Amino acid sequence: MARFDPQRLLALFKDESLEQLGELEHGLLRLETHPDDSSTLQGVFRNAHTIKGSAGSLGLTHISTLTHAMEELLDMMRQGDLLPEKGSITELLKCKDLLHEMVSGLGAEGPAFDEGRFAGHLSSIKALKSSGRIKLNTFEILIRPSPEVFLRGADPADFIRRMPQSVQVLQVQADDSQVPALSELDPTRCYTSWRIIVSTTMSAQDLLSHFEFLAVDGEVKINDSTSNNQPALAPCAGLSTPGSAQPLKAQSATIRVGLDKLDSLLNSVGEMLIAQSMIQQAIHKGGDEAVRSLRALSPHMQAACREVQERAMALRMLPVKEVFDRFDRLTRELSIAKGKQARLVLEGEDTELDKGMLDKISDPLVHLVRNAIDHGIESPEIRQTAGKPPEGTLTLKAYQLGDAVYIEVSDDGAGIDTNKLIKKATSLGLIEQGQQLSQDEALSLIFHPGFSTAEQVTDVSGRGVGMDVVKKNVEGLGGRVTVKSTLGQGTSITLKLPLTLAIIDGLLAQVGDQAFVIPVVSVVESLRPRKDEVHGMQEQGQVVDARGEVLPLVRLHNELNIIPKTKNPWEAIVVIVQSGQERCCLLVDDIIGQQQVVLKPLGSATPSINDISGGTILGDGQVALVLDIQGLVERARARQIHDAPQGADMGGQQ
Amino acid sequence: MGKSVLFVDDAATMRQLVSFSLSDAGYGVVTAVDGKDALDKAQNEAETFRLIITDLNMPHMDGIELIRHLRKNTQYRFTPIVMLTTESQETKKLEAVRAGATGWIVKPFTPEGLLALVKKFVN
Repeated sequence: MARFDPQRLLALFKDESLEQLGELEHGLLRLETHPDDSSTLQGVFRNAHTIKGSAGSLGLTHISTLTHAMEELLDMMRQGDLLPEKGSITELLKCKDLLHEMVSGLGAEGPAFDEGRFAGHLSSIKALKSSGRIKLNTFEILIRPSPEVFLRGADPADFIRRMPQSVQVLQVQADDSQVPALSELDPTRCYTSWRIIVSTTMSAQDLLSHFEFLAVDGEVKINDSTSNNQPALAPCAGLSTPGSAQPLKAQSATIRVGLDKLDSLLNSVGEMLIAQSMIQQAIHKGGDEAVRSLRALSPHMQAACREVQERAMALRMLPVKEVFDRFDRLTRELSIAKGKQARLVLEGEDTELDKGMLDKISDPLVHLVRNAIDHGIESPEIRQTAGKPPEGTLTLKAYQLGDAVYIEVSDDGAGIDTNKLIKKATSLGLIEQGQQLSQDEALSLIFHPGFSTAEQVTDVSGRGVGMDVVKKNVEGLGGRVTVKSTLGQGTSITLKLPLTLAIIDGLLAQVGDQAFVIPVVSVVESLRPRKDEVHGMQEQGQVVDARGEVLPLVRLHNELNIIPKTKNPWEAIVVIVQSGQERCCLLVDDIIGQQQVVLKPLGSATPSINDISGGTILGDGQVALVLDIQGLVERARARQIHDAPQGADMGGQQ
Repeated sequence: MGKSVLFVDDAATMRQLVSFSLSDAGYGVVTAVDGKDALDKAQNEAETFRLIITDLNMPHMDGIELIRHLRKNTQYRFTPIVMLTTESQETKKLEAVRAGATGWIVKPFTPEGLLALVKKFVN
């Protein structure tokens, strides 16, 4: 253990806290536009908490007092007692600025910080805290005044303009559809009705009393839309950020479709209709001729259907530009915040991806870009010493290859030092002391969950923050993440994504009397092993020697409780599947064929079942379950490690 | 000044209370003792009142009659007229609204309540 050095400790605290403060600021800014983002709130809370903890242990009372106050405010937001709206966020940001000064000034000469501002922020936070507790309600107010309302000296518009102070008007819609033509218009009559969305601490009752003079001879209805959880209405700013479509409910989601795509779909539908009428005619011929004609027409119909399917799917496809465009700003802001110089290069922005997928990869991409600037690209000074241009380049590149879309996030930064990764992994107990790892294996350590939750992660000059989450998200979409890095030259992370979430190419396999779908993307090959290629004990810990590679055998009939035609792998088929870097063999009775299947969720009534990711309906009307290869492989590997000594014994005997 | 309010009530205490609290808040207040007096002042004052607040039960001309008369005067056709009512006067309230009353304030009221009401109609 190194000698206790308060100076070094203080320097470490400064580094760590400044980084936390940077994250805190980003979190707060995001909260302002996404007040419902609980994970961001959680992150911000953790930032404040971390600083508070360290400051407390170092005896930095003022810093810990201020962070404590912030933490309390954030906790109220977590409990839902206070809304992360402009006022509270602004205050927290100001506190963050002061904290930044306080932390930066540590160890320097002169007055440490402005006592006046310090006290001011503490009391503002106190005020905000007492203003909380009352929840903000969102109401929809529907006003249909009596047509005679003007003759009573009341102007409905006045009531809308002069809402009580605690009411924040989010949206006003006037319905003027009842206003007659000018020649028939009586200016003393009111034809307009209104729909107003407000956010207020008032109760519906109190709000209604504001409009009681209109309600007396007209109609005023107040609906509580707080409970409906319509985040689109809550923050007005949220309306202008369609890029982050996540909080929007699927039912209201819309998509902009190019006219050419729609036209080509209609064109294909036309072809299908022609094929349909030809089939109709063929049937009328009757007898052998009908059969002959139908047989001839079948491929025609098949082609037409496929075309309709493809073009309908294309409607869901959007250019990645929609997501890429936000990174310009992010890159600029992040690099300023981190004191770096970074240039963003976008390539292949017109590559199209399923809308659902696009929404889901946006957050992982933000993460990767952040990491690249935060940990990848070096400061201008270091870059120059290394003989690189002071400005780093961050490239976001998308392209389609086969039935997958690739998105690469690469930088020309420091790269990942695998030796440090290994050292870190060893100290965390993720790998054995002295264990030999290939470059790829070492790099994939960054995806280990332990790496991101471990504290002091920033001591490692690589990446690590939340990479496991990125990997999980991408694999959840049926995609894969790979990382390449050369020390001193940069890092490139590639996301491989299936073109669409809804339709997959499936390998149909028979087990007992049931058919299962194995996503073709996961299939490496299928084969019938020879008897001497199957090792291990009957019913457990079996492995198959497939072309020299020893893989664990998963007996689907055991996993799924089905009686198979045969239990002997040499009389059946094994399908070698891969998830991430890992493979295993699935034992099935037979392969039926390959076809495109429409993936359907099993529905909320069925809880998530191990090994099954969804269902589909086959051409003959039979329902087939789609296997969750990722889960199967992970479980097989886990079991194999568990059974390892036994497996090794058996291997030794044979 | 354009912020004048006409207050009509036969009770002197009420007239006093209302004119104090409104003039403290920067409004010009003219008071009248009954409907007749009010109509007189409404027609003869140099400026048009921005808001009229009237009691309902008054001698000579009651509040509802006053409202009817005022609504016939083009000058006051669209002027907010607020009546003073008590909880027990639900039917009277509706009658007044039909006669053209804009709104009401329930007696007894606080100066703050009155001010909030006035602010609704007069900027």
